Amino acid sequence: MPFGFGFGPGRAAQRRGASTPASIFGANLRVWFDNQDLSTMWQDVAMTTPAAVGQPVAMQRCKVNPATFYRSQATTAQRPILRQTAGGVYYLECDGVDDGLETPTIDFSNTDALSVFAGLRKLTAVGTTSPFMELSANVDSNRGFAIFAPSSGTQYMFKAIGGVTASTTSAGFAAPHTAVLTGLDKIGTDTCVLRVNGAQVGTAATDQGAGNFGNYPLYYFRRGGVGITFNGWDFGSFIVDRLASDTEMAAAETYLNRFVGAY
Amino acid sequence: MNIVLIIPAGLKHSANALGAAMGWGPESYSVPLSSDGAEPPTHYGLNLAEASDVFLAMLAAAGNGEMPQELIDAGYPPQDFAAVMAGLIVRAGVPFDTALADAGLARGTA
Repeated sequence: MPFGFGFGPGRAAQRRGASTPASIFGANLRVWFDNQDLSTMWQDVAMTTPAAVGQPVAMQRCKVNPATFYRSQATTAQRPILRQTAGGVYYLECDGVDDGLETPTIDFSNTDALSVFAGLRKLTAVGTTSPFMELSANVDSNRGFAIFAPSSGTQYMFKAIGGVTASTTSAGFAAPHTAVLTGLDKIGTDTCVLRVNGAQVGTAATDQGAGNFGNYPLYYFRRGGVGITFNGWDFGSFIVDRLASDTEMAAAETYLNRFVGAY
Repeated sequence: MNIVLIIPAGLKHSANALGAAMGWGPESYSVPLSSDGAEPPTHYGLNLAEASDVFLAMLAAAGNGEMPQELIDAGYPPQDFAAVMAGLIVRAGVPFDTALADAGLARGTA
């Protein structure tokens, strides 16, 4: 299937609009890894060699607080590869074996609510749970969240934990599958929502207990940097430290889909 | 072209040290493997998604017993180099799981 002709994974880059995560969410935007901005990526952790298509990415600066926040991989074999679709859209290709990136600790203890947006293409079901991104080394035992693509079979899953884990899944998305995923969680109101390609597909009203999220690294594509892996493409993702409104969600999902071309 | 490297568990430390001496980072062999994927691992593997021509040439030379100059300069023990090369399983241009199947190995799901 050819890429970059209006629909399908990796829609042409020139379809970008004016709205960005920063303009939509302002100071509530806490993490933004923009894979369409090559100036944020390098082939080495020391940031001496800029990223290039077909080469591993060892370091990527976050577009929020770039002096402090980044994701990186010290081991050559575990670096995702920068690729570009025929439509000019950049993505990180993760091999589903040992690729992964990790941030320093990012403190979400100021909030009990998060909105998580991700553009991805899952390629195969590797193992039973494939973490695209996960706050903390294991969301089952820490005050974090995770997006799994898949969680098992044809599912996507969004999971978050306050005192108690809440998760919501939706099946019917057989790999290979391209998606804009949105996860919404608020511990205090027992809100846990998963959206796929602009539509709500799952909710959970589990009593999540009380308190806020934690202060942990974000692990991308591999649990805790050592475990189960994500096999697929990462077009970009961002995290907001409150629940997004319907209008904001639509704008954020539209922003990602201009690159992803999922719907 | 990708390259899959598999090392017996007993050589993991030496193989990772070799990788570190080559500038590949500290923990190259990070995927635990066994005949059925269950613990304990008998082997560890890595997948290098884009192996450079320089890397492939070095690996070919190493397979012929030629210790790379970087390792000599780093003081890497020649006896460890010989042991790692003797135990290393190398597959180029095949999916990771194909390489595992050919070697009678599987990865766990933890």
